[in-house]
Amino acid sequence: MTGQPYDDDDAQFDAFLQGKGPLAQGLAELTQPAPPAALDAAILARVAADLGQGGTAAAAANDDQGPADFQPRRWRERWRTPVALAAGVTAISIALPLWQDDLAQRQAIQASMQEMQIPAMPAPMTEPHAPPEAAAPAPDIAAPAKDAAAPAATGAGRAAARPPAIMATPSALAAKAEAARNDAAAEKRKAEAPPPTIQMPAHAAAPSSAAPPAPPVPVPAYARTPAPVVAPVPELQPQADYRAGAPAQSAPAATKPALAKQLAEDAASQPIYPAAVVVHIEQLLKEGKRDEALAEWDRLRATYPDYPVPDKLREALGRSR
Amino acid sequence: MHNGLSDEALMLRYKEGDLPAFQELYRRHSRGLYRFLSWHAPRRDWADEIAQDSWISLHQARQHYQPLASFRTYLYQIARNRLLDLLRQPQAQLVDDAALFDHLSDSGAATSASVGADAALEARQRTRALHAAIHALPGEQKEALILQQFSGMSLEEIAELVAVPVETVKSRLRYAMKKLRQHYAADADKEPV
Repeated sequence: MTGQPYDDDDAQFDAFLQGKGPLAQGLAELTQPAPPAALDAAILARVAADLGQGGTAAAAANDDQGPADFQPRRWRERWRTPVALAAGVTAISIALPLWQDDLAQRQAIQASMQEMQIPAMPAPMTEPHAPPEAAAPAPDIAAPAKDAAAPAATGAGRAAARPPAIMATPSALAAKAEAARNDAAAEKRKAEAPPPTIQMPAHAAAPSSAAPPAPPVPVPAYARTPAPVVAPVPELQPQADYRAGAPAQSAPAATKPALAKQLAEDAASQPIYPAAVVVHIEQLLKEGKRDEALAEWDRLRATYPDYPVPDKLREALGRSR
Repeated sequence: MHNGLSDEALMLRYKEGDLPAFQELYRRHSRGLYRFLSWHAPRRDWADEIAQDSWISLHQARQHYQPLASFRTYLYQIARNRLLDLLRQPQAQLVDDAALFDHLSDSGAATSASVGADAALEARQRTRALHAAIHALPGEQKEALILQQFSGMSLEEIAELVAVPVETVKSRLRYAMKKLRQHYAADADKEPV
């Protein structure tokens, strides 16, 4: 019973679809519009003329080409730019990390190469200071001339037999070759000279003229006499001693670390050059700081006893020298 | 000669340059297409223009035709796209609702002028009422009703044309039938008065 209204409605609907029933008849009785005869004639004439020419009329650019063919072409036109943009972004997103990784690898390689080269630098520096191979040839010096005739070969052989601490780089190889030559020259000289009682390092035999010249010391404009020999810049002295061997001014008993420490302390406590101390003392006097000026005067005289000082300043301080 | 051929076969012949095939296709579908356009176009000259444009477009695109769907669906798809393009124009929005589809009512009144005066008046009133009822239907229901009742399309063809399932087309037609029947019954009740 519940399905009866539905069935009636469904039957009426089926009848309506088939054009039966009062409503469908009413719709069918409606006078429908018909295409004008002129429109029919125009369309048929147009098609007949076009087919009679045997050619196909070229479609206008904005004409609809029908549902069968427009989709592929419009798809290409529609998605050409987005696909190109997406491809570009994808390529950049792929290439950029690769490029960054490559750059990082190159930097890491360069850094590792620098680390590999940096330890090789002390080789020629430490060779003159602690030459175990150079100190060892002492028995060779006393050996017969046959052995002394070929020190270079033994030195070179030791250098070659020495296991490399790091990978041999060109600079390390050059430093070792130079060290071998120095060893050979030292041993040759020792073989020609009487055997010394004290083993001297190879660089001690180098002439002092081989040392690099000391940097120019600024001389005050009012200085009448040249600065004393000890006047040069103190902090440069360790390097000069190091290159020129043991000069007469340096304490021969002092070890290198102790000397360096002492020189560092002196450099910290002393001014760069006495002219600046004189100017500083004059400034202190002008400011009325006589005690500090006297202290600076004492430091100046303790360091530079013979440095020429204007008489006016000496009188102002009440000092005779 | 071409009477026994299907629409698709005629279209393939027409594609090869057979003019009688096109004439047969035009004879079969020109009226139904024109009805569909006239019931939707606000003005008659617009229906004429769209009809001519649709057939010419079919002619120009005939080389690209593939018998994947029915020919009628293919032809109505072209016309429907043209119609929608025209209805989106600003001047289509300015058409007065009172004047909408007046050309349909007027044409019906003109043909019934030959009968008796009372019968003519009654038929004219009934026609106007039915036109008004169809015009009052929602667009989707009205489109389905016109295509099925006036253009002779099957439910499957309508579903393919408007890109909806067949059951949706059925539902739209069912609602349209109920609304028209109510209107028709109310109009019938007024007649004895």
